[in-house]
Amino acid sequence: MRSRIRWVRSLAVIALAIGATAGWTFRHYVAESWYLYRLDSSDRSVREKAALELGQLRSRRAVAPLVVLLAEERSSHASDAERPPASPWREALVAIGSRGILELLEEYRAADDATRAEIDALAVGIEPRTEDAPALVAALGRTAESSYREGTQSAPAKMATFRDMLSGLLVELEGSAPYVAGEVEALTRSPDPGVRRSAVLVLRAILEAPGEHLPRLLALLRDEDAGVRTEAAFTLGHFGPKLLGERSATPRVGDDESPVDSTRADVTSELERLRGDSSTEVALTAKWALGRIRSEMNGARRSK
Amino acid sequence: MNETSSTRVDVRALGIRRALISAAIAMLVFAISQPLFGFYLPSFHLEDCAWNATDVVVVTEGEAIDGKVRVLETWIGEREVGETLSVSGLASFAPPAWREVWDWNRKATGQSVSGRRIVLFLERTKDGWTGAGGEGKYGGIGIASAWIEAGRAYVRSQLEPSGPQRFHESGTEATLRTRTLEIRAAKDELALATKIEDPRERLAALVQIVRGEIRTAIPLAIAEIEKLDPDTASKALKKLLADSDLRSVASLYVAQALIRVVIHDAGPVIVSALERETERWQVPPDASGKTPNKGDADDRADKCQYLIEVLLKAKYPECLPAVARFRRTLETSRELRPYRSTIGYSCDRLEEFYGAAAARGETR
Repeated sequence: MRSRIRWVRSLAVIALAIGATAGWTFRHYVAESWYLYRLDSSDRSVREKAALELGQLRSRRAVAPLVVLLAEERSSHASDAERPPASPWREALVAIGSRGILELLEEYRAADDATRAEIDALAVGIEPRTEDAPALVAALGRTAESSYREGTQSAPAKMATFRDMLSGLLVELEGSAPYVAGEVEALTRSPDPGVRRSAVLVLRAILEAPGEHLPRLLALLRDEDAGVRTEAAFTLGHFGPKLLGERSATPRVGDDESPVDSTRADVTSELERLRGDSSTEVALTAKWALGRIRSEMNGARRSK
Repeated sequence: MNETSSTRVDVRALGIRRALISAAIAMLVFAISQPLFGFYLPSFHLEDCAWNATDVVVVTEGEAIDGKVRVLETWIGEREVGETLSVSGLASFAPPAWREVWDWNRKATGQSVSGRRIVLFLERTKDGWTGAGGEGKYGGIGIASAWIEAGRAYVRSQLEPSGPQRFHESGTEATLRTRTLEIRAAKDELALATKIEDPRERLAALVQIVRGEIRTAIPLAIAEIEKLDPDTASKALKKLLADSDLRSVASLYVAQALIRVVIHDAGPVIVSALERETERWQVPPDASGKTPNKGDADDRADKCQYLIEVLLKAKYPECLPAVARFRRTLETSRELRPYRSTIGYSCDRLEEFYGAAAARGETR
C-alpha cells in the first residue's frame, strides 16, 4: 500500500515536472494562442489589448488576423479623414515587423488594392532586425513574377511596392547581415528583373567590399534590364575605392598586368561601354561610376 | 426714471451690438487676409539641393539622433564610406514629434521617420556642414535632406501658407538618386559647355542644355548664349522658340532672352510660337480620344500663358489678333477648360496693356 502511494507520488512529481517544463518551453506559444483567441473578442478594448501583446511577442501567427482587422477598420470609416491616425492593428503589425514578413507577403498577395495600400503604409514604421535577414531575403525571392503567378491572384506589377519595401529594409541592415550575401547573390539570377535589381542594391548595402561577388556584378552590367544595369554600375562606382584592393574578376594567363590592374581594366572597360547605353539612366550612372573610380585611382596615385 | 433706465439698456445693447459687429468685421478681415499674407516656408526642392550641394551623401544617425552621422554612400563629393560627419541641424529632429510623417491629405499617419538612412544635400562652409537647400534662416538641413524608410523617401514640405513643415512621402531612394545624378550631370555639362572655345560647338552644347529637363540649367545656358554675338544669339534663340517641343519654362526664358537681344524682332517670333500652340489646341480628338496635347496639357497650357505674358514686354501691339484667336480657342476648347481663368487673366492684362498704350498714342 505504502509503496503504491510512493509510486503515485513519484508519478505526480514527474508529471508536475514535465508539465512545468512544457509550460516554460511553450509559454510563448500558450500566451500567443491565448491572445489570438482574445483577438476574436467582440469587445474592441479586449482586441486592442490582445493586439498590443501580440505585437510585443512579435507573433507571426497574428499577422493574418491583424491585417483582417486593419482592412475592417478601413472599410468601417466612410473616408480616411474620419479614421484616427493611430491604429492598434497597424502598431501591432509594425511591432511584429520583419519577423512576420513572409506572412505579411502572403496577406499582401491575397489582398485587395485598398488593403495593399494599408500594408504599404507600414513601411515607415518597421525596424528591420538582423536575425530576420533570411526571412527578408526569402520574401524578396517570392516577389518574383513567376512565383507570384502560382498564387490565386495575379498582379505582378503591384508587387513592386512590396519588393521595394523588402529591399529597403534589407538595405537598412547594411553591414550587419553579410551572412545572407550568398542568398542575395542567388537572387541576382532570378528571372524577374525587379528581383534582380533589388538584389543588387541589397548586395551593395550589406557588403563592405565586392569580394567574391565582383564577377557577378560585372556580369550584371550586361543584364537585359536597364534597371539592373543601372544598379550594377552604381554598385561598382560605390565600391570604387575598394576595387583597388580586389583581385581580377577574369584572370588572364600570361598577362603582364597585376590582378588589381586587370580588375580595374575589366570594370572600367565595361563601364565605358555602358556610357553609350540606349538607356539614359544607365549611361548617366556608368559615367558617374567611372568618375568615382578614376578620381579614387588618381587619388591613390597621388598618395603613392 | 423708467425711461432713463430703458435708454441705458438700449445704449448698452447698442454698444454690445457695435462691439459684436466690429469683432465680426475684424474676424472677416483676418480670414480674408490670411491667404494673402500667409507666409510660405521653403519646402524640399530636389533640383535646388542637388545643384547647390558640394556633397550628397547617404548617412545613418545610428542609435541617437544627435547630428553625428556615419556615411553609408557618397553620391556627390569626396566623402568616404564610414566617415563621420557632424551636421548640427539634424539634432533638432531628436523628438519623434518632429519626425512625424503626414500624408498628402494633411493627416498624421501616426508614424515617424527613424534616421536610420538619410540622404543629405550638404554645403561645406568654414564652420562645417550646412543644408544646401533654401537661403539664410529659411534654409537648413530639414529641407535639404530626404529621410529613407524601407526604400521610400520622406521630405519636409509645407502644404499650406502659414502651416507647418512636415515629412511627406516623395518617391523612392532610387528615383531620388537618378534625378540627383541627372541634375549634377547637367551642371557638369554646363560647366564644360562654357569652356568650349569654338563658338559654334559651344552654342550646340548650350542649346542641348536648353532643350533638357533641368530647369536650373536653362537660364544659365541661355545667359551664355546671350554672350555670343547678337546675330548668332538671336538666330539660335529664334530657332529654339520655333521648336514646338520646347518645354514651357525653356520657352519663357528663350522668349525673354530674345526680347533682350533683339527687341524689335522678338514679337513676331513669339506670336508665331503662340499661333502654333493655338493650332495644336484646335485639333479635334481622334477616334481613340487622343489629341496632340494629351498627357502634356499642363506644360502646353503653361507655355501659352508664358508666351502671352512675355508679349507684355515685347512692345508688339500687333500681337492682339493672335491673342484674340487663342482666347477664342481657350473659351471653346474642352481640354483648355481647367486653365481658362488663369490664362484668360493673362489675356485680359495683355489686351488692357496694349489697349491703354494705344489710347496713350504709344507705338513701337
